[in-house]
Amino acid sequence: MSGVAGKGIHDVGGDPAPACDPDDHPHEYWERRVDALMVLLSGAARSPDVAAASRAGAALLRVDQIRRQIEALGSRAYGEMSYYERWSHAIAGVLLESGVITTAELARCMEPRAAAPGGSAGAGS
Amino acid sequence: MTAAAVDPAFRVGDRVRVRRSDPPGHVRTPFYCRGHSGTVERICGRFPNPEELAYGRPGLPPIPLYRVRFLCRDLWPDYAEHPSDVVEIEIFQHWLEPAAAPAAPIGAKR
Repeated sequence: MSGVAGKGIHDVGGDPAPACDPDDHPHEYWERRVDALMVLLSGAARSPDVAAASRAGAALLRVDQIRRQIEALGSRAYGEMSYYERWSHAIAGVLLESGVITTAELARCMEPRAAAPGGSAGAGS
Repeated sequence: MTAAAVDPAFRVGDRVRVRRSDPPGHVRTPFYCRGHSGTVERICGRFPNPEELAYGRPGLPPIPLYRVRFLCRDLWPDYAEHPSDVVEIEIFQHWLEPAAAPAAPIGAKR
């Protein structure tokens, strides 16, 4: 917590900060997929003009909605999640809000995957 | 939605002050510049209000966006680097109000 009323957890501009590591950070495969999902959902892949894409119905979310979702994370979650974990959480939040997906659908997708072939029997098909 | 376009209220070189406001919700003006005065460096154009877009609304009519130049030592009283260092922040018109008489606008050739 910043301890300053009205200052969001994300609003760190001007605050003291540790040294920045300028090296390239390797990304996990799932992180690339989250990035790609954002491009597709925001309509950026179809048009460089995101506003026009949104009006045309090509966009299912706006980056502004993503920012709002991330800002609304509690300070603990915000601090513990990695960058793309926050994105992933925010994408799900916006799509739930707008009715593109339901909580039941999301829950189903987040269930542990069925055991690999040859694994223990009786886990369902 | 056919609300009239919002015309720019400020010109390049104008002194402006960022409103000292802490509204709830999605805010696109950094905390550290609120209440401080700077100089309009350029008018970036008109854009849908991101503070409305954040809630899935259209954010229309588009409102003017400015790049405002602040002296670092105005933002941070204990700023110890070069006294003429500046920081430029893009701020929407509804966050700005006219500031007092120009105190030698930075970089202005008059």
